Amino acid sequence: MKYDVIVIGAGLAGLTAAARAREKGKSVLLLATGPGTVSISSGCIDLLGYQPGDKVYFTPEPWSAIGTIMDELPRHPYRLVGRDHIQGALELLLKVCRESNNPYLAGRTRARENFLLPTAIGTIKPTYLVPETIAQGDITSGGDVMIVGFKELKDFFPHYLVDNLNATLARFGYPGRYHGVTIELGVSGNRDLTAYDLARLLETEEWREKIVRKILSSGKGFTRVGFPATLGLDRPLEVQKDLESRLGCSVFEIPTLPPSVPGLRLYEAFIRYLKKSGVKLLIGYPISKASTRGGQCLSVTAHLPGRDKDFSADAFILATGGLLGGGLVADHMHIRETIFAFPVHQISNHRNWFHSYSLLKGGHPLDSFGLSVDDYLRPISSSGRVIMENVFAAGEILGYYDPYKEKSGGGVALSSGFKAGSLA
Amino acid sequence: MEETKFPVDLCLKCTICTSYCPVVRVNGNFPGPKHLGPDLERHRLHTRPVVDELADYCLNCKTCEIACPENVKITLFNTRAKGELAKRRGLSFRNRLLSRPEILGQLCSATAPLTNRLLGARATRVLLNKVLGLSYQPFPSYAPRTLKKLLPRNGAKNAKKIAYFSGCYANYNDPQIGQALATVLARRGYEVFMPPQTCCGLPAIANGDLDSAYRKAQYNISSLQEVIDSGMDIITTCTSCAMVLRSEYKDLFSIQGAKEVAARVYDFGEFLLQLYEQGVLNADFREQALSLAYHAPCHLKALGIGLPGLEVLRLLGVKIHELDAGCCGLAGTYGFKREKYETSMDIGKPLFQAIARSGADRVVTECPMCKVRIEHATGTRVVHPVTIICSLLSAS
Repeated sequence: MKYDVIVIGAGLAGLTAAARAREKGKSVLLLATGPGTVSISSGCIDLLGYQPGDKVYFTPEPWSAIGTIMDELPRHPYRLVGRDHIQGALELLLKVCRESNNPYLAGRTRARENFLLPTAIGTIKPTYLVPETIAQGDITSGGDVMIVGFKELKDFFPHYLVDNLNATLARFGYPGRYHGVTIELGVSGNRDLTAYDLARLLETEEWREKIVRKILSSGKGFTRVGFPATLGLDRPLEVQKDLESRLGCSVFEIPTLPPSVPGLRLYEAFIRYLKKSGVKLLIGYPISKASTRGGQCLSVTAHLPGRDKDFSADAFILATGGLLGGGLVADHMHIRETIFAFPVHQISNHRNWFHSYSLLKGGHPLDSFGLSVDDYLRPISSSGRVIMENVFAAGEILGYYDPYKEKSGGGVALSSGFKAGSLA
Repeated sequence: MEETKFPVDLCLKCTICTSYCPVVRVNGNFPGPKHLGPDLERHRLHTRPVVDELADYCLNCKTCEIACPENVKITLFNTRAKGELAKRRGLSFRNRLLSRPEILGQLCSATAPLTNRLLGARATRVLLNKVLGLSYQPFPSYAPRTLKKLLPRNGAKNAKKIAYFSGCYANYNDPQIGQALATVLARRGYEVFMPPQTCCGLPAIANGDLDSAYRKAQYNISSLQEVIDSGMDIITTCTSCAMVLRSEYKDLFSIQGAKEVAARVYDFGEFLLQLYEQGVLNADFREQALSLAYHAPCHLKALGIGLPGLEVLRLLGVKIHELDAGCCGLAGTYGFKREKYETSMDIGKPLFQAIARSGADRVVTECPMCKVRIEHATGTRVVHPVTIICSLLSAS
């Protein structure tokens, strides 16, 4: 059986590419080693949090900054993808999430500004596509906010969050006052409670009632109450609405360490959407190699239990991720691409990979290593020649941008996946 | 692909496995695959390995391994730990009994009508519960004549021979599955025969009786090696047997020939799908009287071949709803154990609810143990896809 399109990778780029190619009427197979990094992500998708070059202040409104990128950075993925595909990708994502009863909002206001969300460590994260359950946590809303933690949940400390956040708010001149409370659930069981376990508990009315009573006994009169992101796995809006009516104020979620409930919801939303639209999925096995002839990829080989199997298609989308996702691997000297051995844009002397590293300020050259591609997202050689006519790359495997410094990883994955899915 | 030298190092602690573990979802004591697998494995590298008793609560359903983005062989660590645990505690009579379906099969099949009545009797169940620690999950009934005796010995002239690894269930409990397979393939010019074989060993593996499983693996591999040496492929109808032949023998035991045999094992659906693609499998489609719902067994998902049984049914024109509601919870011998029964039924709840919602007259699934569990929990009859395919093709 030959497919029109094979997508390799089940991260945000691969999932979006598969959805888009199917939308275009193609027969699509999605192959992946496992659920992509979406499932351990915060579930919030950044578009652009910091302008390249700007080292400290987040950008309140990503669109004009993206415009600047398009004018000034010719190899940046946003320039290659273009505005129309970014817009199309956002709409596709909103549709996927809406169909899964987990609606997202794109931008904080009509002016389409970034949401400014509190993180679990009390910093502020500028981000753009946000589940409704998380969106109400935006710090510009101010007010008296109660952050609830649970004694049994060892990954979320409300007082740590609150102290940091209050200091940050004061520094940037934002309104609002945050308070923390830790309540004891009294659950039995030998295992440490995870966000996933708590989400299962909060799906039941019995536990919601119990928790609300404990929160109300510790104080009243708050404008908002923030929970670690555990408001149920499948129907977060219902859980949120129910808690709001019980507490008498608005309720929001704050993303946690993995297992990340909003990440799992987003991943599952995509999987359901893809299955329903008729995309074939084979997730769980590594793709070891590709067979090619005369500038075309013919098939890729999946390493299945017991034997390898080849899958052929007219076009392939490479969305296997960067160093974390496994699309790129590093040895002591080089970084290489794992399936096609495409050339990777990198600093050739590995000694220069090491220098003082900060996640936020300045970035690290390593993070902008990746594939060089043409305007159609096809990997090119150092001389600018397209290596394979029918292979398109999307997501973090692309080079010439720093997803961590810019906070653009989600937006690049989404929009490049969308464009690759449109072209393949 | 090369084996990694320190497989525990592949684990990034992302906890995706834990989020997808069916036992974690229902049992607050179970530490989950990450902890029991790669986390504890570090401590097992010592001369006197650390073993967590709760390892026994792993279903070996492989969901964690499919979910793992780094391809860590989580259940492999766990299976070895179960082996160590069984060695230390000794194997209980009950677990020894459950580990040997081929012996139970020989005994019960020879005395079938009587045994079936006896095993179904309330008094027997109470006794087995109190004395042996078995749950009230009913046993499958046994067939008076085994498949081995029922299968026609000589096929048509020029028939291409194909080896059938039937597994215990099709041989001792429901020979119709094997007969249906033989009928379907006979019409396409194949003669199905059963090479010498014993239980695949999965029940023994699940109970930590690795020595016994190893002996079974050796027996089966040496028999199947001869089969493939003579140029034949091996076909299965039980997805758990297929999983053992394709991964467990190779990963768990270093037996010569395991890798070569693994590469030649085909699930019946995979095989029929190939025939369909070659244009030699067509159905004489008649009005479909029953509404059908399909349940994908965990070990089929672990084969990485998609859902070929369902696909073939649909290609032949059968209307069938895919349940897609997770594990049935029985896990071979797990749900037969008194202390695990509740966890096991809780695991299956979403599936049972999905079956009720579907309103299907019949559930279709490959795995015999899923069948036993679904019939017990929902009262809906369960059939193997090959028997449906056989009934569709028989008129043509």
